[in-house]
Amino acid sequence: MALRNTVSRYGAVTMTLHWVTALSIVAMIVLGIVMVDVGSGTWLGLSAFELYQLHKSVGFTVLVITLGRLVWRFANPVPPLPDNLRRWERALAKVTHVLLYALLLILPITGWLMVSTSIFRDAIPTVYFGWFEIPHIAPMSAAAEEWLKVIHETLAFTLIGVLVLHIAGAAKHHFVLRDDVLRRMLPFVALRGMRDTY
Amino acid sequence: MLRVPRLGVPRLAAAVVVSLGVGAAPAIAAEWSVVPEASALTIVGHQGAVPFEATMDFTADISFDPDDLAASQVAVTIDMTSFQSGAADRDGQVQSADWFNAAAHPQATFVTTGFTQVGDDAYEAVADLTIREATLEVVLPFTLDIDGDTAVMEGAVMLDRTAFGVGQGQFADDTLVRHGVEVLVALTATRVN
Repeated sequence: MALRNTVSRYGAVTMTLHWVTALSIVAMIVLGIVMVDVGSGTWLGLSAFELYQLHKSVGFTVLVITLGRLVWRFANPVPPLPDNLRRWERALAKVTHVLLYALLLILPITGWLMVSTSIFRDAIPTVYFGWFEIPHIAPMSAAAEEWLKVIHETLAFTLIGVLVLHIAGAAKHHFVLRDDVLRRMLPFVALRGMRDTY
Repeated sequence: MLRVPRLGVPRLAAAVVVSLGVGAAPAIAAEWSVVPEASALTIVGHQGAVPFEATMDFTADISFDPDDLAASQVAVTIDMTSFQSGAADRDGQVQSADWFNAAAHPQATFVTTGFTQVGDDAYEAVADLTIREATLEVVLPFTLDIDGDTAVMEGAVMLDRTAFGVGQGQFADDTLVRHGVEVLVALTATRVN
């Protein structure tokens, strides 16, 4: 498999970053929901403290990967959508993708701001997978943290909604339109080629 | 000759109670009772880069009223012999003279001297924390969510263990066991009065 994208399918770099992001987002959503609810208990043997640290570490990974993906996207050809899509379908696909990239940047940044403004900023440093400490980027402010919490949570649920659209779109291409739109993001899977099913 | 008033025991007791009452703060904030099964004091330390978590038992006398912080006070007593980190050798060693010296200092105390509100549900407690021979002033930021007669409090503070003489000799160095220790407090309390 080629590293770079071609006009007919994504390359290994794009695919790897896409699927690592996908796994990370699932982990982020699960961790995010569990960690605010676990209290003084544990989940899979992990305490709230460990769950938060994990959520923060994966979040920074998503931020860096997303920046990398955008650079890679602009430096590579992007396989076009099939010709037979209606204009509103193209527009919906475009909006969904722009929203996904935007949310994958804004969510980690609002999270980072939350951690930075938190009253616990000095008590609980963010340590990237136990490896190095991530600095704070804003001064302490309980009021700002409360707003950021609402924004972060709202955007997280927005992301879940956009993901449903993204996955539904891929499923429609794969199972209904029976084209290559999903296949070209799947490694080790042959393309169907253009089929005239209409 | 000085005339000493004669007081019977009941009257003496009443006089003591009255004078103590006058001496204490006039307003008495609401009393709260800790719900142990929904509360935890957790210590996060690092051996090298590897984190570990330990829990410790404590009791707390809590008078707290968000609308009368001046009359609020919290006194916590921590049982230094109750350190449980899931590793028996560590839990044993922490009791030794180099660490908690629990034989000589079986309890640590945390007694607030003041509260400041820093957000809608966010506060800072200034307190005297006594561990081993050392008493130092610490600032504990915490959030407080009062719903009817139940209060949920979460706080955290980073302590330098060496400031309290915890970890001496070969452990005074940062490399084996990190100096910074995170103390996480999660409390659920119910209103008593």
